[in-house]
Amino acid sequence: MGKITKEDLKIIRTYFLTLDEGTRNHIRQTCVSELLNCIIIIENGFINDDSIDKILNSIGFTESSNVILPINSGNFNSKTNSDFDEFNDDLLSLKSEYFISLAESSLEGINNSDIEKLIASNNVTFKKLLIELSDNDTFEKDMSIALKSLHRDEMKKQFQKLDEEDEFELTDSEMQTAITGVEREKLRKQFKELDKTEEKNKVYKLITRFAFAAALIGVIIGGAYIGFFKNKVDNNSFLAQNDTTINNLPLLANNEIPNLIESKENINSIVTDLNGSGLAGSIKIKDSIHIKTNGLSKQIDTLRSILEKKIPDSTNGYGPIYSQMSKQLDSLLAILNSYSYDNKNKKVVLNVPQVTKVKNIISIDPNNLSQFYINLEGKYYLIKTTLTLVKLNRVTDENQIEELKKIEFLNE
Amino acid sequence: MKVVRDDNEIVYTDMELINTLKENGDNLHLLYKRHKSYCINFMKSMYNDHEEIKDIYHDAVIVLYEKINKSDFELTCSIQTFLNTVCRNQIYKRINHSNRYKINEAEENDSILKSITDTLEEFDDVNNERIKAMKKVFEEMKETSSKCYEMLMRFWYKNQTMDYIATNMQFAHSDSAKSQKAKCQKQFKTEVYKRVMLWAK
Repeated sequence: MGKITKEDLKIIRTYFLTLDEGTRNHIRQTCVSELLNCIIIIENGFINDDSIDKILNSIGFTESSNVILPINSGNFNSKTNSDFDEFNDDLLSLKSEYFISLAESSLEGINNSDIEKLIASNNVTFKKLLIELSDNDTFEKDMSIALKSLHRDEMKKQFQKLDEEDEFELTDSEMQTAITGVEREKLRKQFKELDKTEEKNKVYKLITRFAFAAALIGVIIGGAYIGFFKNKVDNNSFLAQNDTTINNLPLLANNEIPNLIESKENINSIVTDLNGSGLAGSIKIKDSIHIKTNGLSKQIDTLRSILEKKIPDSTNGYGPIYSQMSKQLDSLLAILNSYSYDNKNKKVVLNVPQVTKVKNIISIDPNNLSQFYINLEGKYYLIKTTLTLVKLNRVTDENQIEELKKIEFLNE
Repeated sequence: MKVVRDDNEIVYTDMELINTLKENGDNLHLLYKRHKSYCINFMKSMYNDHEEIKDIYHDAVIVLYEKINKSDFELTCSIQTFLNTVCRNQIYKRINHSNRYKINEAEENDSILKSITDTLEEFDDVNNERIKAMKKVFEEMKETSSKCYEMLMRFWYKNQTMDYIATNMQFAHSDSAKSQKAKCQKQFKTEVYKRVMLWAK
């Protein structure tokens, strides 16, 4: 025999794991003497609870640095370290399976020569295994704990993943807070500007009063002087000029920003698929749905143009104005393509680029108007109850679009 | 009536959600997301460690899920109230010794709060060699022999009866399911002891 082949290992496994004495006898009688020697050495080693290293040594395997050298018969070929490890693992695994199979048989009341030998030799590993395997209650209790613990670990991983996803999503309240923050900041700036203007006006009024008094004195004392030189003094010219330079730009810009374009419509009927029958129909609803549409694009475009063209250099005295307008633009962009729907009062607010008439309100369940679809310029959007502004949710699923189109078509 | 919607816009009431969770855990994320912010905000008034608050919420959802899998489970309040109360119990358990949180009179007299005493059951011996080996074998079993894993999971974790398992796993009879379960359990046991013995070497 040149070396232990995979086929030999199969025979060794069958020998140790079968409980049938006939099979074992057959293997003993038919296998080559070297393999039989090997089996006998392994069997004795298992029964005496010898270490795997010791068993391998007895067979003729030893590990010397990176090479396995044949030391007894010289029949074994030189092997690499990985072969040694593999065989070591195979034997270790075989020993466990062999002991477990015998211990289970023993607990089922089956007896054979190997079990007798193991008990007679007072094999500690086998005895311990017999005790543990006989305690089925503890095993099942542990099994239940292991399953629970494993499932908890999996759930926690799932929750952490959900938390991470959540961090990238803006909730309705976070969005509302953000928009409110921008709006408040804008208002604060406006108030500050107003305060500044008011302070200036106070100074102007004071100066005007002094100037008026001075002029009056001037009229009395310098009447003759005026008579002689016939000149006029414009006390306010300097102040007016200054005012134009500093304040006229925002004033001009604010005048240029168009008012919000609004449209309001009340819709009294909705289009629906009647009881899922495939027959669509239009039904009247008890409470009209009020739709208010805000067209934001004109305001946005104007603000953009002012910011790009009229205030090109924010350092040139217009920093606060630039910042205020920029924030105003940001807040408009933040609410662009958003909506809110107050189901109780049946009020929908749409913030879209252009004011567009809602073509249809399509509902799958006309008894439940907490959500429905709207057709805006041939595009469908899902509207759900939300008191805070949320982004418009456009339907992109082809089948769903087809279904909505079908309902509308049948209604036409 | 509280409702929660899934990604396909199916609306579930508390009871419907519990019933779907009894069958499988696929909708657990709906329950988790639906009640998270309310529970977290509720806890913020009692406890200021945000990371720990998240852990407590995780544990509370696990407590509910494990309870749902018990045959005698009956929800006597809304899921939100149950989760809030378990969170409160968990916080109380964590900070009880330092007296940082006292139960107030209103809580003391609330019968629902008093009836829900659940906290996450802890296992002292979860790190013993045998349980570690069991977890490893279950993980491998899930990948290689998922039917066996499902069978043992349904019986030992979800506490389902063999009749219920037989019906839901398409066995002709309860007896064939029982015999399959015995085979799976034996295979599992052998593999676990093999690991324990190998690790001992």
